[in-house]
Amino acid sequence: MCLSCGADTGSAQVACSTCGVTTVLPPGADRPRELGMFYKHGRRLVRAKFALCVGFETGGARLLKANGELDIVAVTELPSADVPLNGEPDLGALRGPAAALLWWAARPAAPPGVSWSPADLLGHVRSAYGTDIGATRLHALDLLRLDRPDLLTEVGLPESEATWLRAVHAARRGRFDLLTEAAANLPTGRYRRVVAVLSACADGIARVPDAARRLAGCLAAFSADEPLAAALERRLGIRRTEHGDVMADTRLRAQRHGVPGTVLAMLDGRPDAETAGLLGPAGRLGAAHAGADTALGAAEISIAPLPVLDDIAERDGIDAEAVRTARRPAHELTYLVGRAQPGQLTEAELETLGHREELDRRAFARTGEVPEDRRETRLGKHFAAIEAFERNRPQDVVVAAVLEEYRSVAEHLIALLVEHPEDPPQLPEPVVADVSVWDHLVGTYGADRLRAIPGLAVRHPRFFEWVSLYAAREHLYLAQWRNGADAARECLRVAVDEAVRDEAQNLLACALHYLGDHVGAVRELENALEGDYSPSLLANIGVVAPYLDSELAARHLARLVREAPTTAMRRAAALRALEIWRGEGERVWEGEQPGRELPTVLREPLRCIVTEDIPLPDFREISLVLSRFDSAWIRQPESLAPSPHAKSLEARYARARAEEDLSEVVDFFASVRDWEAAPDWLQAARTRLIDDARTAMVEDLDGADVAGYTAFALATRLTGLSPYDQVSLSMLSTCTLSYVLLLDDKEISDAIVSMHQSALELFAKLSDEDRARIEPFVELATRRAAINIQQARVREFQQVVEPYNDALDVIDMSQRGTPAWFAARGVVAQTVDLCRAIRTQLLPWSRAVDHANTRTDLLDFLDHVRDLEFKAQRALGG
Amino acid sequence: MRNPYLLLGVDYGTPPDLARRQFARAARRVRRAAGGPVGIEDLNWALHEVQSRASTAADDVSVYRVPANPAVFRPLAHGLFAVPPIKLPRTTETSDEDRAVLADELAKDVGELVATVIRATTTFDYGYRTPEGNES
Repeated sequence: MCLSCGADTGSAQVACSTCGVTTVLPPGADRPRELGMFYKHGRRLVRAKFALCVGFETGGARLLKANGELDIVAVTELPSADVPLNGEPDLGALRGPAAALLWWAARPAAPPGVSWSPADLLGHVRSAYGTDIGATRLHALDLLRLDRPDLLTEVGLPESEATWLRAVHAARRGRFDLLTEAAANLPTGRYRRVVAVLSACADGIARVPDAARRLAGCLAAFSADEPLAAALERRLGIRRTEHGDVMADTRLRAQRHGVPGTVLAMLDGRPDAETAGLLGPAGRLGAAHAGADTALGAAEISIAPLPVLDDIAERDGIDAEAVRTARRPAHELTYLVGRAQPGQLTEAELETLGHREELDRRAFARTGEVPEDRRETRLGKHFAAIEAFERNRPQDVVVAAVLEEYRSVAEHLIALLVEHPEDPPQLPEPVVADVSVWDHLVGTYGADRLRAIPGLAVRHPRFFEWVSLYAAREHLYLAQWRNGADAARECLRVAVDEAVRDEAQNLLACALHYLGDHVGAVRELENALEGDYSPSLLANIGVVAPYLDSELAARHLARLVREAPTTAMRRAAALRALEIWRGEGERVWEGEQPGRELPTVLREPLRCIVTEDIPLPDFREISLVLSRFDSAWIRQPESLAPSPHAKSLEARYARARAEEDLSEVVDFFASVRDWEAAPDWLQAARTRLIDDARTAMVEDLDGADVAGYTAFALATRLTGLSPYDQVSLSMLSTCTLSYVLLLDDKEISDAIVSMHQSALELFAKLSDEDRARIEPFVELATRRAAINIQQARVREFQQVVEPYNDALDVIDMSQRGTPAWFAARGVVAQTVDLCRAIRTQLLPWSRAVDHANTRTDLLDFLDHVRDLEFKAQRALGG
Repeated sequence: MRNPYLLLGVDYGTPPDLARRQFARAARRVRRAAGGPVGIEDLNWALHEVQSRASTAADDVSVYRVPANPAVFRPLAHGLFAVPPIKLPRTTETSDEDRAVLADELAKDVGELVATVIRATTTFDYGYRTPEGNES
């Protein structure tokens, strides 16, 4: 195409045959260094001004001064001083000889201080290069790069060529209004390539107001022999559009513009699923209807006409779940599910739809019977034939009554059963190919007889592996362990499906387990557990492993705790692992510290399961185990926090038990106000603690200080103790603590004395039997308490004897009424007070104590005290 | 070691009513194999165990499970003995107009997509021929 006049030209032509203008653009032109440069201009001593070099003429460079006047200066005399303005132009992409001038011309304003306009510069360019079409075209391209298509004709470019360039420039910049305007202004019938440009921008142009009218003339000139122009006319509404035109026009545009292959595939109406995802709902619906492999969602199903969906349902292209979420009348949705996936309909929906055949099918699958009134239907006859097979009466089967698609299978099956009722020599291909017949075959001939068919494993490997698996299970049911193992091994020989292999290994492991080969059983199960596996396999290895190694069994059960699908199963696995460990006896597992730390294999499973939603009794059992063997963990408040039982009595008790000090447990028991309503486990725990404390004290009455303090705390802080517990704990703790404290020269507290007194009163009310059980400790408790208190007083008494004697000496020797005399009398008076207090305290104990020696000691001490008291009173003059 | 399900010859987790039905078959088998390792008392024990374990069988981990994966014994397949769900008969008919509208909608969507692709991939050159090729 000639860009000058727009006429069509051959690609080899150097000049247009119509207008004669060259079609070739020169690669570039020599650019005079001075052109477009500013130079200092003006007299010395006057402020320097700048002038722009706008051209050349004989004798020098033509300089445009700031005032707009021109001056001629010899090129050799041009000042060499640097002018900052010359650093501004970016000429990198410009190629014309006057590029620097164009750069200044394209600016919206002239540099400061000059009176000329930027547009004035174009005249200089035109006068210098207007006759050189090559340079002019380079200047035109430079102006387009400077985004000034409006200046194209100013540099001497012909109007029509400038209009073409404006059209392309507008297309490049996405300025569809300008493109429309330029295309409309092109000479009619010229510049054929504008059709392709307009076609590429068709959607943008369609949005330009009045585009159809403005472009009608341009397109009409080409539409007769240029299909793209006709397509554009239809796109703009200039030409009438028929059904199918849109897709044909799109295909034409796609081919002409070279779109990617995946998009081209759409034009056949069968995009792949990924490409179809780029379409809107209506497009996806159309694609699905055309047979594309694209899933319809609720959006498409909501907008589609029902017959269209019916078409797609015929090809199984609709998913019932998507239908259920679509927005359509309910009866249409039910109808569509019935058309797409009738198995998803409820029986009520089937009744509503009146879909009797599906109801009959389900009834037969459920009961194996055909209702009398439905026996003559198409399906009823088919099921009657199945009944005949199942009654072992193949000769009664009417082949014509069987549904057409299964008649061939039925014919082959009848022939097989009639001709070989006992030992089939071979199985017909169509019969084995129908998996629904397998159960009937195995029921008729038996699994072992089928497995014995020569070449079965080679001809029908999938059936052979299934029937071997079936046989293995049957042998296990008959306790034929060796036969079961053989059948399972045969299945493994041919099976490739992982689920089938896992099951065969499971059956083989069962057989080996019952044959006593536990190592082999565990090995098979461990093989089955590689890759994907079911929790049942893990459970089974937990059953078998204890016969081999209890710690190994616990390890597998621990895995089940992590991986089992239900909390109940995880809980059962955890409890089973715990049970195995408890039954282990002397053996110490890895990581275990006997009596103190759980083995490693149990720690995480128990920590994990105790925080899940397990029954309260299981929570109690596991949390108590953890409180003993994982106390540091359970003491942390966040450990049990995720459990739904975190605030239960059980959780509080477990945390209290985990503390190193028993006082936490006593505090917990003391917090219980109503023991009558307390749960059995709590009462049992309290009883156990009481018994433990009591037993410890009875066994070591002189040294069980911890038990003594615990018993004291239990007796004084707990409510709801039985009288026997109250008395026994009080007496035993009095015994123990009085003795233990005496060894340290410490006196029992008033609280112990008070507890002892209360217990003595309660003791009288006990039954004869209980009194008899505790009586020896009552006497001992009283005696030890008395001795403890007596010894405390003795220590006090001894402390005052020496100061008392000294005080008597002072009274004897010092003058009456002196301060020393008064001080000494004070000491003597204190001695009197002490003696009185001792007598007051110990006298009741001397009466309460039954032990003769103790009482004698007490009375002797009291005599001694009384004697001193008398002497002291006499010294005071009393 | 005794497994109630194996003794009765039923799958692990079989509901009590099915196990009861199987009990009769198992009893006949035991009588036929008179003097075998399994007696009728064992079957009674097994049935009682199956009944008492009914609610916890799914989560129990103390009895060996045969089968571990019951699904492999019942391969899902439709055929002569297992007719697939039957589609509801069609009640509508697609008109030419339906097809045409559908095709137009598809064409419109595809057209928009193609236009977007063309806009994104097309380059516009001014058409000047240079020694190196078209001027861009």
